[in-house]
Amino acid sequence: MEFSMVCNRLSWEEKSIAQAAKRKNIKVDIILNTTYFVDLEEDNVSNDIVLQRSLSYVRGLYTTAIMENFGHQVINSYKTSVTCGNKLLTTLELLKAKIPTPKTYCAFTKDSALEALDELGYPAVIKPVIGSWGRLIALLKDQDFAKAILEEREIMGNIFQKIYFLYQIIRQPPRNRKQYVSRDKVPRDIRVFVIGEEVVAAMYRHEMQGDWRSTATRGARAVNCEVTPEIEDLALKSAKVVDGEILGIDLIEGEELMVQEINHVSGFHALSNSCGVDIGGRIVDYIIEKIKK
Amino acid sequence: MKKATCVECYFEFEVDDDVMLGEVIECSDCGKELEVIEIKDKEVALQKTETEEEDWGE
Repeated sequence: MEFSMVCNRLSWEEKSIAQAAKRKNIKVDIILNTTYFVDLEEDNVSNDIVLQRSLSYVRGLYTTAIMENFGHQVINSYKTSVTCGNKLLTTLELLKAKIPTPKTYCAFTKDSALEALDELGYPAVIKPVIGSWGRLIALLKDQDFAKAILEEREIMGNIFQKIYFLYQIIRQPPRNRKQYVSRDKVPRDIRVFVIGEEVVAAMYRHEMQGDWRSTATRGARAVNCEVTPEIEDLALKSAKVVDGEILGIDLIEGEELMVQEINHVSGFHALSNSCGVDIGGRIVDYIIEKIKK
Repeated sequence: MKKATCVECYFEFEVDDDVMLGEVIECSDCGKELEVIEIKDKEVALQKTETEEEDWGE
């Protein structure tokens, strides 16, 4: 039994998948997209199933497109990757499926973005439609600050930075205040990990002092989160909306539980450590079942 | 165990035998993240690795 895995390099997650596969006597053909090239008329991937773990969104998207074109089953699919890799497209899918998500506006010029922000209200968040790890996300506290950020974005070379994706910030501690201990009054979100039709783990990500972004790579504090039926239901519904197989879904606790974004090549180092779940092993188990089918 | 030399501080350190091509490891002296580019019988060659690019991560 064998599968292929595409990655830029073997970070902790990819190594844990490779080690889990070895323990389960599954061979993994590692395709480093730093050295990969292909004749577009000649398939050079030997396995039917390919796990996409590219750190680079663009390389991941296009290697998935190429491999699917040759008939490989890529996890996650090109369709899922296009949607999840773009915050605007994800939000549109969530809204279409009536899944709660923060109030969001989209504009394409500085002036229209400022008008949108007047309607949305301050503080609000501006987030690149394509991007991760909290890069270039800004908390717009007032109109002056918004103007400065938008002017900066207008002179940036990247065309995607000129799609102004603006949303209401929901930044409050948990709704069930009885569950607090004083240390946990810090704003947080929830990362839920879905494999197939199962939620395998979830963690709270508490903001670090001095950084409002609750991204694990920026140092957010990870704490195990009990998977309630509400969390499970929302995460599985969201996974279905984007046709995803292995996903990291970010939830926030507003007046109701909402979906912030869906990640199609999700990291799980902090999650594995905080929950004690062998996520690499669970991913390999999922692939084994897929190969058997 | 295999041996590797940090390309940043030139410290020589030991690496597990199950090290893999493309794996990111940390220099045990300076802590720099390094990528494995070649694995020989008793030696591993490393290069500096990018920590973040424009479209990385989730």
